[in-house]
Amino acid sequence: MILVAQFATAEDVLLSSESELAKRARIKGEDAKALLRQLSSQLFSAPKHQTAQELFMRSTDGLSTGDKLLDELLRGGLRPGVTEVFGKSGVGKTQLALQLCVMATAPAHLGGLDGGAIYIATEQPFPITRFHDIALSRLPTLDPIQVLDRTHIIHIRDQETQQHVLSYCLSPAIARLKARVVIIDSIAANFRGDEGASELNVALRANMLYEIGRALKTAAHDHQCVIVCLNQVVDVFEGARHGQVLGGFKGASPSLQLNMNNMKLAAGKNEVAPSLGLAWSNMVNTRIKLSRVNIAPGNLLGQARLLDAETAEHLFNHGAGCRGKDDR
Amino acid sequence: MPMKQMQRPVSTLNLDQALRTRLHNAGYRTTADLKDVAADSLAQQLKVSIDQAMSVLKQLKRDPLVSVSALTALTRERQRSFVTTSCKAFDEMLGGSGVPAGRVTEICGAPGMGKTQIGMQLCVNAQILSSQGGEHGEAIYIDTEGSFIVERVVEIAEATLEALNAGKDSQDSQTIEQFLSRIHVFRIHSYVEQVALINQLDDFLTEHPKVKVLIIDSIAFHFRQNFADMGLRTRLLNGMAQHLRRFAEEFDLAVVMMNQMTTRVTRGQGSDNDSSVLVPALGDSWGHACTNRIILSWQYEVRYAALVKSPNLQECTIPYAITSKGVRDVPGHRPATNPRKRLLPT
Repeated sequence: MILVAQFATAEDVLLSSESELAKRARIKGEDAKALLRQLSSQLFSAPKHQTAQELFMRSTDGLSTGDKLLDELLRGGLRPGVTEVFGKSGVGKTQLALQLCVMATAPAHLGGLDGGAIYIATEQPFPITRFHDIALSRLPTLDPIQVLDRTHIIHIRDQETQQHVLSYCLSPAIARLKARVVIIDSIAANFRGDEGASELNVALRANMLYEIGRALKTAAHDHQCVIVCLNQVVDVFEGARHGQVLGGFKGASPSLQLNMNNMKLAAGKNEVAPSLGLAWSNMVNTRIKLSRVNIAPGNLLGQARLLDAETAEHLFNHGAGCRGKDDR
Repeated sequence: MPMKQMQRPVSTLNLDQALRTRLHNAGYRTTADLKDVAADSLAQQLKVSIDQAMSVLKQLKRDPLVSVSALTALTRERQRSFVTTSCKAFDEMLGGSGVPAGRVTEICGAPGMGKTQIGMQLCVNAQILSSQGGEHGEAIYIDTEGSFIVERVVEIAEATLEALNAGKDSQDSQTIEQFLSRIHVFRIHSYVEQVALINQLDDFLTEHPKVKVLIIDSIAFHFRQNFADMGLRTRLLNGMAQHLRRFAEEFDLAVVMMNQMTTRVTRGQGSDNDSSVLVPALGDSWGHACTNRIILSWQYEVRYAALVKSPNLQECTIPYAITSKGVRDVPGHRPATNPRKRLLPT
């Protein structure tokens, strides 16, 4: 019956409407309805449903950042999902990423997750000596061999490879290496080249970002893995800083404006937003902003690093300006 | 049974052409002619299968139009249950007591506005005991983005319980485990899964009649990109919206869909006048899918929710806050007017 209608895949059948299906397969409307329902339950079986209680029993420890203050701020570390860390260069994004790799691979008695780590470098080569130093200084009692052995590095230099690796190769790799963390440093590097941004490019890019986001989220969920994407920032110019007008409804008052990328307005200058725009912002579960503030003006050493959780389902302190001073 | 009404030409029945011709040739003109005919004899006369004859007769039996009197509708409306958002201002914007059952409510907002937080809060609040002013129901959370964090639900549930039990002896209290086990989470990884899940949700809702709130966070995620065929997208979305409206009505539950925001560039005269606005994703026609639409936005340091579409409530904007305990009122804010009362033209 289905064969007669020349559907290529079960999905094609599922995506057709009842009347269309009835017509093509020459069956009654009710039968088409029943067929769709049956097919639905086979393609997506109900056991995929879980109660929150089951999820809670299954939930694992968060991934520690290796810093008490930061962990407290993150409520026990990062949870499985896609986390974006953004900030200007030199603010400590890579440092945080490397620490996460150390903590993911370190044994449990040292607060680690005793798993693997994957580091995808698209910009700078992986800072291997620094990594070694961090492992040594963070966990002095630990033989760094374990950490180094379990951290796997992938260099990607072009957008096409990045797309392929993230969409298809990452998930099996996570399973094979029992990775608890995947770092992508950075997500935007291979994208930023073609910012000639014609309208077609924008749509195409949004599409690619969606594909990546979807693949990462699926992998994060399937393997209960923390995926961290580092991202650069773009400056938000004075004019744009006051935001885009929130449209879509009558009488949007000029005072009701939405800040670009939904960032809170800071009193100071140097407002920045993560690159790749809203298309990418919609893809991440948790967003962490790193920035510097001057404690003692003019003194570079007196700068504290500020960690600011922007979008986080398990965090509430939305940009509470909590201070996580990096003890470097 | 009003017989005269049943007099209806056979040609108006929903039949295929061949069957209609056969009926006509056999001398049947109106539905009254078919009234006392048995299926097997009809099948014999028309030389068709019993099944086909039955399908003809079945159409006669069915009451062609099911209607509800406005009075019944009003009574039903008055009895409609609500799920509170834990934020008074938000509740009042939605008609007094929260998100209405039997309706589809859409909440749109850019990342970080607290869409997921509101969703989780509603999942918890749907379970508040009837003795404490709740519905003592269950909740379904369809997670398309991977943003349902169970640890956070625990926090919200704890804070909610604490608030409910404050000053009372907590005899008929519930445990966190009970709360969690009544939230049914579906994790969706593609739009095909989403369509498939919605298709079979009838069965699940029948098995779980206590479900009071159905959250989809977010409806847009898998439908934003990757559609070469926009016609297909529109059709799938419309089909899904139709299902959701039906669930809300039939199972008397509150359907809440979260939606993302997208940038729309409008071309002005000359390239300098291009302006961009943030609008809810999925396009203009999607705006018809929901009964109530709410848009969340920042206004400097405060989050605001704006009711922008509703058949019975006044458009208004209210502040709300996301705290460690969940969704709450902004301290010090008092709603100025009762939004349920529409301003009458004088």
